[in-house]
Amino acid sequence: MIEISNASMIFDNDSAVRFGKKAPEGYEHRDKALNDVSLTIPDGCIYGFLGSNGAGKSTLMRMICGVYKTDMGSIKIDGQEVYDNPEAKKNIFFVNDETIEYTSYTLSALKNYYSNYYDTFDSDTYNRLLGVLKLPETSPLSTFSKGMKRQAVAIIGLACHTKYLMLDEAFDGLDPAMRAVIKDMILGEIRSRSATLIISSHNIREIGELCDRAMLIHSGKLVFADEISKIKSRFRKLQLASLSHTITPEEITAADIGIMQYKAEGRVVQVIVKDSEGLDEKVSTLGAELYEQIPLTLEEIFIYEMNLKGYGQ
Amino acid sequence: MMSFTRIYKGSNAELIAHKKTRIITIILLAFAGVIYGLDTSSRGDNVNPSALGVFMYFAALVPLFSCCTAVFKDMHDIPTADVQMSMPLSSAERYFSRLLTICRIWLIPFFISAAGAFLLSAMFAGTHYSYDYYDRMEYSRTYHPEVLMVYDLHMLLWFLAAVLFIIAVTVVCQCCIGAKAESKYLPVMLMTALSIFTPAIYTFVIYGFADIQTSGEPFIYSLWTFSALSVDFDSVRDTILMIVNCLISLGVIYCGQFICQRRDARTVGKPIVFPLFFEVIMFVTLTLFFVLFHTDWESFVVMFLAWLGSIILRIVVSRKNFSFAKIGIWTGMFVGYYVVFLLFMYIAFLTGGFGVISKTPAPSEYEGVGATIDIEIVECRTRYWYDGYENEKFIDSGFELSLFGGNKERLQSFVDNISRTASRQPRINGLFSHQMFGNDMPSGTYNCSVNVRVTDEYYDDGSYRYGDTIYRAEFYLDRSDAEELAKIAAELERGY
Repeated sequence: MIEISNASMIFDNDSAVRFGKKAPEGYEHRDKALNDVSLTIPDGCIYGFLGSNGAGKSTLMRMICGVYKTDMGSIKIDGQEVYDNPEAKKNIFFVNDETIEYTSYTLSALKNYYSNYYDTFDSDTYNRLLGVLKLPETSPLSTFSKGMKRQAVAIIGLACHTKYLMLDEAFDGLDPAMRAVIKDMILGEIRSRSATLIISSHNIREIGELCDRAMLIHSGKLVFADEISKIKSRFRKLQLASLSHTITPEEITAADIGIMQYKAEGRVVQVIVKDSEGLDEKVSTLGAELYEQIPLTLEEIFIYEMNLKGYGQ
Repeated sequence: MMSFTRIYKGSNAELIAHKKTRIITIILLAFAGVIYGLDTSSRGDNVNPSALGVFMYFAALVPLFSCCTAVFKDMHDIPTADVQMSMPLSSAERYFSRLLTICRIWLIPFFISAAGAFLLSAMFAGTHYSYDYYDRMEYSRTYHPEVLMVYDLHMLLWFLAAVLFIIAVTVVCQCCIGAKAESKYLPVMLMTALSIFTPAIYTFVIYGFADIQTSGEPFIYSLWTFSALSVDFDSVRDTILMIVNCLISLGVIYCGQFICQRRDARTVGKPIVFPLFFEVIMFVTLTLFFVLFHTDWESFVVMFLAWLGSIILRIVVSRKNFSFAKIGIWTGMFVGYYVVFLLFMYIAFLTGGFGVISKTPAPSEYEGVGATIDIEIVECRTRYWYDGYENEKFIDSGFELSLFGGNKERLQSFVDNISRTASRQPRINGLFSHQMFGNDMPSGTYNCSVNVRVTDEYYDDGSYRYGDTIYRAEFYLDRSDAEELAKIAAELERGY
């Protein structure tokens, strides 16, 4: 289990400029890349990291695998603090969102490289997965396409047999057919070993399909984190219509319904609501003749949440 | 708890990453060893090392530098930092695995090459080929294994000191620097500055104000520099110096881990991670410029160039944080360093070069058949010595003295007298300004220069063999001391 408790991290100002972020109030000279994030990633799940560009997903991943040190709070893997701790780090394999660092290697050199670091490296898994993807083993990775490099790193990551596998922008650069093959391959391996997969992607539909759990991060702060089914159950799109009048946002708020977005076309009102508990009862007080509840997709939830945070406006 | 297995395995992985550097190093060192071994000649007590072999060993220092920067790539390359810092190693283990990689890429092949070179030189160095009257080749051997072995061991130690110095400076720079460009040029700059720093401080500050130099150079002359500056293989002191140099480098390399442990990937990409480190580089380099070029007001052109260079370097290092306002701050720092330098020089002036040089030679150094003594005392009224008509010379004498019949004791007493007078020299601001900037000497002040060199042997044909200069002094004195010294020198010359 990975436990993240009140984790915060500060970049120097010049790094913040590189990440294209503005320093929050009170931190004009320093910028918190991650602000008081608490999260638990249970064993055996597939966890999706969602967030806008520069939200802090990659930063959090780097903190989980000990590349960055937390300035406040703690990150523990199976009860052990991860930073500078080889015993904790041997359980985790991290693939970042770039593949440029591998270009001077051949796939077989990369295998030898990682097998020296990870005692759990399994040559049988490597050979089996290589047989599936049919990548050239002796050509330098510099001759590979971006997608092929991703495949190569995925093979290595899975062959390391770590308890936790973290893939940042996992399927970036893969064509749709290969995307499906790689996804199946990763999921098959992870499930067969009851390992934990943590992935970040801008393709929210993919995260929705793959993951059991997800979290959303924005400007370094955690927005939500839970099982995807529970997240989805909390958000609803309502369509209301009253013959006598147009239901106003004030009336909806007065009925104790949290509005994320309100749109009216004539007498028909469309409302996105958060916290759908006891929704039917609350809506009944509005006197709507027509009432319909529609569940939201993860992608819609992401868009409405980000709109609410003022992202992209 | 640090694990050697993890360090070793980490190093195994890094060897895969730096295969090409390893191959180049092995080729260069193998050829260097073979050429050195075959081309080194020895005749009796003389050993002539192979120039090409030595050159190739020096050429192999290029891949060493390249290897030192490459194995610490995670310190200045973000994708590499992501990979390497996420690996199951602690930061100390990562640091030592890099050092082990350097050992395996460079140091182990070097020792093998050196052993091969020694073996080959032992086999061939004493063999001399010649042609007889009938043009037939014949060879003879005058092999002195102990001479060759001692020479080769000195050579190894001397080169090892240079190698460890390069590793120490480069590795510490890698730990303090977060950008690729700076990780290359700043170590080169620092190594050059450090190599010139101690000799420059000795020559221009300590000797410059100590006024007296006895034979040989002080210990610090080659302290933690490229050992190439000190190649006196016969001297036990230089052997100790090389060992001290090696130990300092090993100490610095060991301490590098503590700097390394303070860094995570956040600092990767920042040209300078620890600003204090950059200021140390600036301070050493600028002080070196000040020391080398302070002697004349005309050197302000060089000072301007030093200022310009420092500003350009700071602009490069500051990257996008540069603003024109900072040029003012940097200029202020430049002036600050110059003020510190002036204070340092003034203290050196007041304390006679920090009093580190012994004032008189040891009695054993007067061994020889004779001595040549040169003494000149002059009142210099202008800043330029060549305006001789302005100057009043008290004495300008050069004479030889046999070191038999009590003359040795008389020469020793003369040297003691000179040293005593030198220790009384006026420490007035006018003299400081004269010595620092070449201004006119204060009136009523005289300059005395003395040089004593022993003659080792006279030959029947009237020629002779000079030995060491055992005593050299140049100092300032007042008129009464000048008259007194001129008298003593004249008495010594006349033999009274």
